Amino acid sequence: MQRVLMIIPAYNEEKSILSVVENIKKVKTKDFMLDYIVVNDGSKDKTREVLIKNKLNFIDLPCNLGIGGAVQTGYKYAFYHDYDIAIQFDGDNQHDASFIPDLVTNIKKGNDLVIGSRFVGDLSEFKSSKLRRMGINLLSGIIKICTGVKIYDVTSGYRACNKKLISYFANNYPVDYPEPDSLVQVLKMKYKVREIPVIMHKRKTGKSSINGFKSIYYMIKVILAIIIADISTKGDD
Amino acid sequence: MSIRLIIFLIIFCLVFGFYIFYNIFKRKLSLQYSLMWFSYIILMIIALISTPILGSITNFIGFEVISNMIFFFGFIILMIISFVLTKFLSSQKEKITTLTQEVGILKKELAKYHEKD
Repeated sequence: MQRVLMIIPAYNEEKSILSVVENIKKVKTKDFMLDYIVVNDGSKDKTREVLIKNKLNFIDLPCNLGIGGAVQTGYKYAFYHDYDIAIQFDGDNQHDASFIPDLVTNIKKGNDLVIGSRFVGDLSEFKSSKLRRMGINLLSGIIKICTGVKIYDVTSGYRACNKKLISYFANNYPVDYPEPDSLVQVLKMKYKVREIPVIMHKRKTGKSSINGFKSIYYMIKVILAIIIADISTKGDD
Repeated sequence: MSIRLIIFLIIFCLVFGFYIFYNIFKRKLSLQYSLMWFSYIILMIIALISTPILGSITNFIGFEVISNMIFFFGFIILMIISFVLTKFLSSQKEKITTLTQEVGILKKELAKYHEKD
């Protein structure tokens, strides 16, 4: 039976983290074992207290590393404990846990990375604001040019990967805004990537890490990161 | 270049040099990273003392006054030093990230170990 680890990065998620874990525990698993690990990324609110009080399985980082550093900690944990599949899952209730079996099934079909996507299929009603979608489309276009593969939801943090990629991510993972960057690396190395439709919800608590003026800085930084990843990742060609 | 400016700059370099020594003895600065500052000061002092010889070089390169050339090269060296420091900072950041992650995982394993007892 395959062992699956949910990696849940949490920064200041005291209000949502418990329900996120409870939703994961409710998922019915027939042909795989589902574990989770919350990575508390130096939260300044009571996230840590909530984790201890409810006896959740968590790693407590001594200082804040940013989303990429927190997620990579999860991959390292998965690598050390020899998990077969790792799934990234946001700590703010945006992702719907009922799609976990879908992601696992698609990994079992031979895909290396499976992305839960808002933009394929008609499942997700929440598709982010217009401006943000424009940004995502632009990034998607650039990634298509760099790698030749069209991925629609390039910033989705709801992703599953197999053992090969767990060991790769444990050692190579971008620190900030990591999704598009790591996606390019994976595509350049000719791993099989697939997008499947999922439902995403509007966040109820907390704030998005990308807002206002930061979004322009974000776009510039991500585009640069994509180009650098494109040039510096060695593909088979 | 006026003799007053030269003397002022040399005194400044010497004071700065002593301050670096002071920090090394106080163990606040590692010898490894003080060396680039020492070479910077020594180069500046040599340049300042040899201004009469520098005159012809200044004309050859196309600077109008010696002081401009000295400041220009001082500026270039400072840029190199700060770039080296940025590179160093980046590698430090990566190491700290790895350490933080490993400490987090170790803390987790340790807690599990204590629970078993």
